[in-house]
Amino acid sequence: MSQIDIKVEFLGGLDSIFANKRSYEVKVDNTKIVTLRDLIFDVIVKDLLVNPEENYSIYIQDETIRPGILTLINDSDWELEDELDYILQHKDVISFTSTLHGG
Amino acid sequence: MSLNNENLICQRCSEQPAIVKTRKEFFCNECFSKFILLKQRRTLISDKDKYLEPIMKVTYKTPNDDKILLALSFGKSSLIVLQNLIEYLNNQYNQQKKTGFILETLTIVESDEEYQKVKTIIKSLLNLPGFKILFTPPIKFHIVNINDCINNSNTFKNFTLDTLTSKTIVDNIPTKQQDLTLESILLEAFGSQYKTLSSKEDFKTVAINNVIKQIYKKLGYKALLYGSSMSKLATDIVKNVVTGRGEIVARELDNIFYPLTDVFYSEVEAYYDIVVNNNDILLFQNECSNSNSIVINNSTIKDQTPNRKNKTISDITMDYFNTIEGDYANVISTVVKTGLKLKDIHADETSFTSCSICNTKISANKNPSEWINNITVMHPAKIQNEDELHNYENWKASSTNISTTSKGNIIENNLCYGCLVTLNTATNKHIQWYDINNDDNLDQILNDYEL
Amino acid sequence: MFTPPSDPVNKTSNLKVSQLCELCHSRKAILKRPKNLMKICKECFYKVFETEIHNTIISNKLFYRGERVAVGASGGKDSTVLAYVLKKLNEEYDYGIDITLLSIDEGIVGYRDDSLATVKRNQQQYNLPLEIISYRELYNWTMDEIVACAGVRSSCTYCGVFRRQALDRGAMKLGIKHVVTGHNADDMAETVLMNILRGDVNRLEKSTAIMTSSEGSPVKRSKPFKYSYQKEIVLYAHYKKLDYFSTECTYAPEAFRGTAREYMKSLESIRPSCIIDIIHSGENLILKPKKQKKITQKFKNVSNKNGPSEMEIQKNGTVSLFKDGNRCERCGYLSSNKICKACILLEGLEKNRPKVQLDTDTSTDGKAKLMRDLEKLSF
Repeated sequence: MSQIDIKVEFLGGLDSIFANKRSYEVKVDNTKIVTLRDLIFDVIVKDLLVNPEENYSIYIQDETIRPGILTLINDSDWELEDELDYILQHKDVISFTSTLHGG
Repeated sequence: MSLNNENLICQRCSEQPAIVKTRKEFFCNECFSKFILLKQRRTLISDKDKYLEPIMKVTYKTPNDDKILLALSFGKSSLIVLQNLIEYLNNQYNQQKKTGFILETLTIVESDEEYQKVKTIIKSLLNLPGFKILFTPPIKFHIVNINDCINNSNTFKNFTLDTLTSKTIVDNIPTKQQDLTLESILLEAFGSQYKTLSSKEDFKTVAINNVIKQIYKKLGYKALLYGSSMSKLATDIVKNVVTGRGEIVARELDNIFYPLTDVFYSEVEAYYDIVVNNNDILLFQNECSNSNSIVINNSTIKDQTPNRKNKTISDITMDYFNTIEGDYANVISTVVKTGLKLKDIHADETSFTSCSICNTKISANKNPSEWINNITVMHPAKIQNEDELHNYENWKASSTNISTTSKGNIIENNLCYGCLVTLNTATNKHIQWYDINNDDNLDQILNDYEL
Repeated sequence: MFTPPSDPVNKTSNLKVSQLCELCHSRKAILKRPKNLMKICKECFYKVFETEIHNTIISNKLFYRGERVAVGASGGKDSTVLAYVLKKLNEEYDYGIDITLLSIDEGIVGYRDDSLATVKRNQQQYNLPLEIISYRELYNWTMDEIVACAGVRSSCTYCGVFRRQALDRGAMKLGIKHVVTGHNADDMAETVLMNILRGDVNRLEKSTAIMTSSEGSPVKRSKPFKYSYQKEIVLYAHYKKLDYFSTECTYAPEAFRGTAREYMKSLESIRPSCIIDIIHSGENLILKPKKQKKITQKFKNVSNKNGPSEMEIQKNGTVSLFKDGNRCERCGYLSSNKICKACILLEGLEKNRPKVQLDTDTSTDGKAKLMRDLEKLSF
């Protein structure tokens, strides 16, 4: 099977740069989109991010997710899952939560 | 920037063309160097103990053989301080045929190649106009290979952090198999991942400062001088705060003289390039990255610093100063001024121990391990089902290698907060360290390079 | 409406020993604690997170039995988690305190409306009494009107001063003398850094205090989250599926504050413990004894005589260090100066009121947006 389903969520206010939609169901070709890095740079940034010229730096910094945004892979801190090198699985839930928005 | 310098006249002398713009003012060559020298002089003689004031005077009265030690890294800042001190001494000798103090320098190197390089540099340095020594006794230049100091230690200890108690398990290493280097110690502890770059930098700074202070004490110097510019000082202050070493800020500022306290690094660079103008005597180029040139019509574009992955805490701190809204210069000087208002928290203490890695004082009533334990809970939640029990038993079966204190190791509380936290970032929460209080053969190690 | 985050369906079976929680060794580790880099599981995380807050409360003796406590509730993540955890701990450990949610309605259309809706849901979810007090009823100004009058740039100054007083007044109105706020370790560390960067040495020594009170006010404030990481608070809210509101205030935080926070987040990515490290440093920064300067003495005398004109307004709204226990001549509120800070600001605003009413007569809502658009145009 080359097509896998991934659920991508933008929480903690981060949805504001993703068309105010918190949850996306994404179908990707698993021969091309293999790692979380691929998903972020070839799918999320290209297809989901609204107004990239302005918003890219809110989401990405120094070629990784901007500090202050929590990345969870199936509810696990991505630090425990190889971060950008994580190999995507069918039905994974990837969530990004801003910790910078008002408390 | 394309300022047309032909139209700009120095605002000090109103005659010469302006070469530099700093602190909202235009300077010509001569007025700018005067300005920088004066700033150093003012800083030197306004120390709070009034120790330096009399001996720095050209017309000092009593004969004096107080020794002063300048930590000389052969970066632009420390070279400028050296040049300034040579000028002082030349002037004094010129007028009185004696000097108010004896100047010695100390350079820490990490390898034989570096050692040789520094020797060559010193030779060529002394032939440069600004560094001509016209007084006696001449300057003693000490070069010390830090690895010799490490291997000079009689005892080596393994420090292992026990995360559950925040205490350190210390065991002695009876005989060392081979010569150690600072680099090999740090590599063994932290590996080569980019994420531990700052931890290595932290302990490296600790090791270098240890050696300088040891030599300073052992050889009976009266004052220790560092060439740090205001920008470097501000970075160091903030770096110490963010690494949990805030308590040493006041002590460092109180115990070390910084002649360039009131001089920005951009000014150091401009002064160096205009007055000294020699790149062959530099051991390294950039002390403070990202500083913008204040030399008018200077078109050199600084390399962009690499991305965050390769950055250390110092890099990030300097980047931050550069992006702060408003006046960069203002923030730098505010940070240094704030630092100078701080008091050494251990100053009035009578009961304390010292950190086995960095020698910082640890208050008897405020142990860092206890501080961490008070705010950190280490009790697990209960095992709730068969699967979890199964996992637990798997872990138990495989965890025979979990080292406890069975081998008669000593459990200590003798690390300061900053070292505890840095040790916690080590791959196996473990580092081999030398006996920092052993100064037995220091005199022999102290390779003099004299004229 | 509250949409909780999705539950993952992919579960790891056959856990390797290296994947296990370093505390219980029986469940999968799902997070790395920034404080000590320990890998722990969800259950242990709940336990240590809550117990650490409990320990902070106990070791600092924050509450006494029978005390009435108001939680400054904004609907944001920190105060939402605070309300939830405080209620939970109060029941588990039997503090015997009486908790009320206290919200301030600054009058910011589109921002505060939504967050207040969240607080109202929290009131239902946690079954706690809620009191809302508005700038309008306290000061006869909404933040939207203030911004229209004074501009976006100083909005945080006004809001800070007004909110601080509003929380105190709200508490007093309810007869409550203790307000707990959701200020966390990150906020605390940021304050330490900013005091150093701004050279605010008077505040530096006090910046890590867990309990404070302002201007001789009978209302004390405490921060049970002093040692809790922002990251863990957000994770806790995420795992517990707590209903919080997360849009930035329309008037944006101070530029300076934003940068300091960003600097800390960059540091955190290479030294996760840095937040608690900064607090440790902050607790160990003390000042040299002050040289008695005549100027300072003079200044104090002058400022007591002429009060308001000499007073400096701090950006974060916490105010004057002189403690007298006087009352403001205008509003009767406790103040160390003749006229309290809020009244000084109000006086300035009133002078500009007519102009504002003319300018914004046409629009009844979204003045913030209007102002922002105007500011953009002028650039």
